[in-house]
Amino acid sequence: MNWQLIARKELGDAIRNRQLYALAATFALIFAVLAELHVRQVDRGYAGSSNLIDYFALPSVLLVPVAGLLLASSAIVRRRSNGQLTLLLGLPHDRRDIVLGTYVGRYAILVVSLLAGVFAGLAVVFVTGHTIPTTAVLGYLLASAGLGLAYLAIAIGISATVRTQTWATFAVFGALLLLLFVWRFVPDGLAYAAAGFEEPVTQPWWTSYVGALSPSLAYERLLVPVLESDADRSMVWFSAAVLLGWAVLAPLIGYRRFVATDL
Amino acid sequence: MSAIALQNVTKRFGDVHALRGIDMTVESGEVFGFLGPNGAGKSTTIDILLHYTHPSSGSVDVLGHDVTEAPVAVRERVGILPEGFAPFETMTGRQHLAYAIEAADADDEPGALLERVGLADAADRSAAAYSTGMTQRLALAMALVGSPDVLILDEPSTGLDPHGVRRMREIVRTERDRGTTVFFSSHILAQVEAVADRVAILRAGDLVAVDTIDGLRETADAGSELIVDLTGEPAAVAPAVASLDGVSTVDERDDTLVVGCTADAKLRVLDEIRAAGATIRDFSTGETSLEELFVSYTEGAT
Repeated sequence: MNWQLIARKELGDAIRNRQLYALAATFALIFAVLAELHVRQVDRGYAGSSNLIDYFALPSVLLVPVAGLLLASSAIVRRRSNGQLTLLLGLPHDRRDIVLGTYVGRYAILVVSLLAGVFAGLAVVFVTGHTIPTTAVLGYLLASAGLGLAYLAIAIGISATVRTQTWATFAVFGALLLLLFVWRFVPDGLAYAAAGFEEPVTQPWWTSYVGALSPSLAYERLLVPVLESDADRSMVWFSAAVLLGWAVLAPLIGYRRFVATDL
Repeated sequence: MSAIALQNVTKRFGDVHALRGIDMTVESGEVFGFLGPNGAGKSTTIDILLHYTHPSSGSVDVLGHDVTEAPVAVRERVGILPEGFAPFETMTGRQHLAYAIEAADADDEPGALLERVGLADAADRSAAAYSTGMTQRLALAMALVGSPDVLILDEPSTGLDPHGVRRMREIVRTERDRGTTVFFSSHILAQVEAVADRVAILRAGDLVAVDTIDGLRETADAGSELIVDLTGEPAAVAPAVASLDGVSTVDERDDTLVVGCTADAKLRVLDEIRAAGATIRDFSTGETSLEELFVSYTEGAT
């Protein structure tokens, strides 16, 4: 059980090559700017304090998935093709340690960056003397951390499966297009097909569940109770389960492929 | 107990048979040289020993552990200097050692190990800037962490200058004296000859010879030739020569006698020819060196 050592090394690498600082600074800058915009709206009386999450949600819809994917897409495959895995696996490490340790270590980088962003935003709100919607921010943080975990997990799975970085890049880009954009049309498409290729009279009950299978769409549904008060509870639980499902299944599939192949 | 045992190990990459059924045992405490030309399957064998690569069939035991089932147990007691590795670009030499020591749960001193491989001066420089030879020394230092029971070195002299090669040799001898089993591959016979107790020669995925260095040398000596120019008819002395100890073949070519014999039989052959009344005009010996033996074993390989 040496995965903790690898996780710590991943985090240490990101500190030593300053990747962590760059990512955290990017998050902090973006969240601070959006918080400033929110504060101005509040000052003009156009918005209430809870509208902060509307602004925070703007970057996280794209920034968190992209950061998660980029952080992990080459994590394993690059070390595999440049020979660092050969050196690592000469030490008493299991291949499971490699996948799990990389996963945890890279996720720590993402969470730290996300926290840096949110805290920078909150600092702007606080310093300008406005109210912080604490519960909403916590809910937002939890959902965003889940979104980041799901996308990072997908990238880890890809990175453990493919043999070259080029394929990893293609696969990750394809995953982002599919899950962030294309999937929005899939439920309606399926409903259309299920109705015998005609416009269905009523939306079947399952379309929103099919939609929530994408981490991005699940995330948007998780934000509903954060932004408004009433939400379909079963939908919220289902969305949370989807994010966790991706977080577990994608690396597991990648790991199974990774142990079965030659280095 | 044997340190390394391979039983009928094969490896196929698509249509290519990289290993065609290797049976080999390395005894505990010996220095075992693994010889073969490039592409013979040496690295594939070593990759299988460390479970970097899965064998297509056969079983591989290292220190009594099946490597497929317990790769970590093997890696805990084996130090490896692999081929085609890269150091971590964010770490110094010392940090590499610190990591390896922590991973092995050992209590070595990073500085002492770096000193041992001659890398103390560069200990605090980023390993990304190391030359090939320095990287090789770094990996050797990492392999020595935790005083392993078995050292596996894949082409250890790659990129090393003559000083580095000598230091590597000294380290191998020190480790052997400590009781460590050393298994190392090379395509250069002289390096194997200098330190190995036993040698296996691999050719195109097949083991063609496993023997001690002395045994190989005897095989080479047995292939010596003695060419004797005579003034008279060689046929007159040929039967007497053929009956001598250590003589394997006697050929007559015009007025020359070509005798295949062991090295120590050569003088007896000359004496016998003179005793039989023939006059020796000239003679020469064709030594089969270990090098030639190695070449003859591995000829025709890609």
